[in-house]
Amino acid sequence: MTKDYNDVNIQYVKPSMTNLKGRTGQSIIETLKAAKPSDHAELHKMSQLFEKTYAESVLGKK
Amino acid sequence: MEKLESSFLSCRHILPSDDVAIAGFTPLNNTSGFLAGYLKHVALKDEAESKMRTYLVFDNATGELVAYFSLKASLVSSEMRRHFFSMQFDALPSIEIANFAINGTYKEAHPGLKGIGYYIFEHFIYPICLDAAEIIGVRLIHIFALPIPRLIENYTKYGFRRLDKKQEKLEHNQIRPRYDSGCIFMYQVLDNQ
Repeated sequence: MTKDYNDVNIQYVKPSMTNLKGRTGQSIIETLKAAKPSDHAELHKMSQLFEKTYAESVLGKK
Repeated sequence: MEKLESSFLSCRHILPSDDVAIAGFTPLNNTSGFLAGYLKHVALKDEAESKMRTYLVFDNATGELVAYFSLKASLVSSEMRRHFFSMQFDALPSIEIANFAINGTYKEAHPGLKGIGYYIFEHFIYPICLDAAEIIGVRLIHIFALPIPRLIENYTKYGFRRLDKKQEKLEHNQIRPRYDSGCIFMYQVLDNQ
């Protein structure tokens, strides 16, 4: 996210219609349709870091 | 939506009465000034017009504003093709995490805290998206990430992936809003099967 927040109500860039034609355009949707749900093991590990540091940092407990 | 609560944090829609908490929100670093501006000046208006849903996350113990995030319905489209005199395209329903920012004031007050964003994503954002997918068809979550290598690396830990370079360029031409100019499309498939 960049630029001025007044830009928020706006306008999408006009798509380049010709760009999305053809094999690459088709391959995007194929990639997305074939994608499997992500493994959240790393996310869970990082999330647990919050739980571990919370008591010490916020509640002032060791 | 009712308030979502975990052991440490709780999450609910933004309200006009949140003005004091919102006024104390500061960007975490110099890249997220836009995000503070959005929260303070645009979020309530977008809520009223149903353009975006903004959620505030509070610390259960201290009541401090920890972070906020905004979600909106979206679609990821591709595969343009001509059909007689019109253009057709394929699309997948998606939820865009349009804003996600940690409160710098909160982080400064608790410098030892790690993994705040990950915790919020795991306990609030992802479950909200799963709930939405129970009611309506949603296949993906996507973001437009600032093109900062450290941020992109972080988002992969959230489970987000990039398209390959050529696909990415085309997708940006198709669906990236103007205010996300320069940002990178990242996506993940919702595990709602």
